[in-house]
Amino acid sequence: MLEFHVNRCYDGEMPMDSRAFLFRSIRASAVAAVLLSSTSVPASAQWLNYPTAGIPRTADGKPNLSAPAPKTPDGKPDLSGIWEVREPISLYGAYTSHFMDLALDLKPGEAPFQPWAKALSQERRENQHKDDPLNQCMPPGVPRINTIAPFKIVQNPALVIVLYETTAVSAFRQIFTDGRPLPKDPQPTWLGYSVGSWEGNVLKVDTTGFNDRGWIDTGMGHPQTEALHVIERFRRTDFGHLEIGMTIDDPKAYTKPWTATMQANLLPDTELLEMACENSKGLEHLVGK
Amino acid sequence: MNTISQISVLVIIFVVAAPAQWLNYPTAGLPRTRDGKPDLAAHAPKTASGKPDLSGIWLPTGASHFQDLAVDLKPEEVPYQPWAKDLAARRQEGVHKDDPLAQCMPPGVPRVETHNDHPFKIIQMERELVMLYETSTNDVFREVFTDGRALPKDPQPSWKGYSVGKWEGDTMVVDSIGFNDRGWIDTGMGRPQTEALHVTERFRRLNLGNLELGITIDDPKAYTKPWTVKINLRLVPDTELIETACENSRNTEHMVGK
Repeated sequence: MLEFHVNRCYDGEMPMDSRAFLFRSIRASAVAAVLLSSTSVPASAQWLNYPTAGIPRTADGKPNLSAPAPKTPDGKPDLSGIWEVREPISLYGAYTSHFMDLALDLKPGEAPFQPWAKALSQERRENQHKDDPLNQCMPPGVPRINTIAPFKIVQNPALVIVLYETTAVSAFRQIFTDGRPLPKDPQPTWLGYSVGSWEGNVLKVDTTGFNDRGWIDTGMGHPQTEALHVIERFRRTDFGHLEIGMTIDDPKAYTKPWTATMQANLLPDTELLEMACENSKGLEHLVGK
Repeated sequence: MNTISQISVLVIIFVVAAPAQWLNYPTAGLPRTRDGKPDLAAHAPKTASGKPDLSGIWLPTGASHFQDLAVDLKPEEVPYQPWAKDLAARRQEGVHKDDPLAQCMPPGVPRVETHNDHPFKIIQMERELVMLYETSTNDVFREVFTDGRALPKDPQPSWKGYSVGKWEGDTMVVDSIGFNDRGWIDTGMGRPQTEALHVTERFRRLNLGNLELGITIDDPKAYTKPWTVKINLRLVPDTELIETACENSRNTEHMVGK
């Protein structure tokens, strides 16, 4: 089984550009192509080692990732930071990441597909994922964008911004926490429209207004429709860890809502890299039906 | 300049989603006149630490600096190196087919903030400015670090470069380096850049509704001396950015050109 971590090393044990190396050294299948060939990862500069301000540190100067989660001046948990879901992305065999299979937490066969959605998911897998919009340099949707590469949460009182590297193009989301309602009949987009509210220590984010072109995940190719409503629950369990719950509520594609939970790690002392998808170069080499 | 061919560059690669209600959602904290309209002539707001607050959604006004960054300058004020002049001339003769925007690549700096139809949003925090750009290809963000860090010494070249900012009085001065040589500085004139490019942006909020942006292009490999332009931007209140996603150069094969 070919496995690799999409993994930025910040403890000095691997070369800084290991992620780029891994990306460029694996050319295996159309799934790999989804992950890799459309990606340009600039190896990076000194800023990948620049210390993040305000991080509690142990006596040896390393970030104390098990310190309590920080708070904002108004007493809310502060989710700000660069986060990465670190799951082994197995390209073959059983999927082991939410990037490949968002329904990973369910028992096999328990994703409550509508019949057409099940058939489409099957077709996408048989077709070697050739039609994945990431192959065409389109942005991943929500929640796939959380599962794919480091992202930075910038939390302000009325607005939470999320900056995403992704493997296609850079993307950003604005999550309005100023009390506004979701738009009623929004123009469909890849990333939708998001509002957030606090439920205790959990930032609950509701997003609607998606197009029907996004794939919910990569290996399974779970489909979505314009009826998709995604609920994300972000909980910073301690300084270095973020739990992300994701509920897929799309009654046109699934007979009932279903949920996945992922863990993300803080990436201290680094910065995001620029992503610019090179216009599907190499797309003509993909095979599939 | 061949206007029709420029239009083709611009039109083919655009996907502009028509809006939702959020395009009419009132921006919080704006001073308003008695009729409820934003008082755009009010004083520029300040942050808690007393600095001018540049936060807001801004749109360039006036002649198109997106097409010709030096539109306000005399020709001799853009001192090309000979190869750069030749390259710009070739780009102007063609239909701009090689413009990276036609391949869905992101615009660089400063082109990303010069389009009169694409607003961008500044979110100012103590240690960082975040800029969110609609662009005519894909959504782009930039981070401008204002925490005192130095520019990286030998950065990997990128489209948007690496940016640090500092205050000089009421002006936010942003220095950016680390660009690739593939970006075009503007669209109609096709001005080239090299990896030696150093862009200095000077942001000054004149009042609530107006932002002045000075841009200096310092790229000694392409221009014999630095040159500076000034762009005026207006606040776009009570609205939001729209997602842009470039549709994979679907029609570039239909473009003609040298």
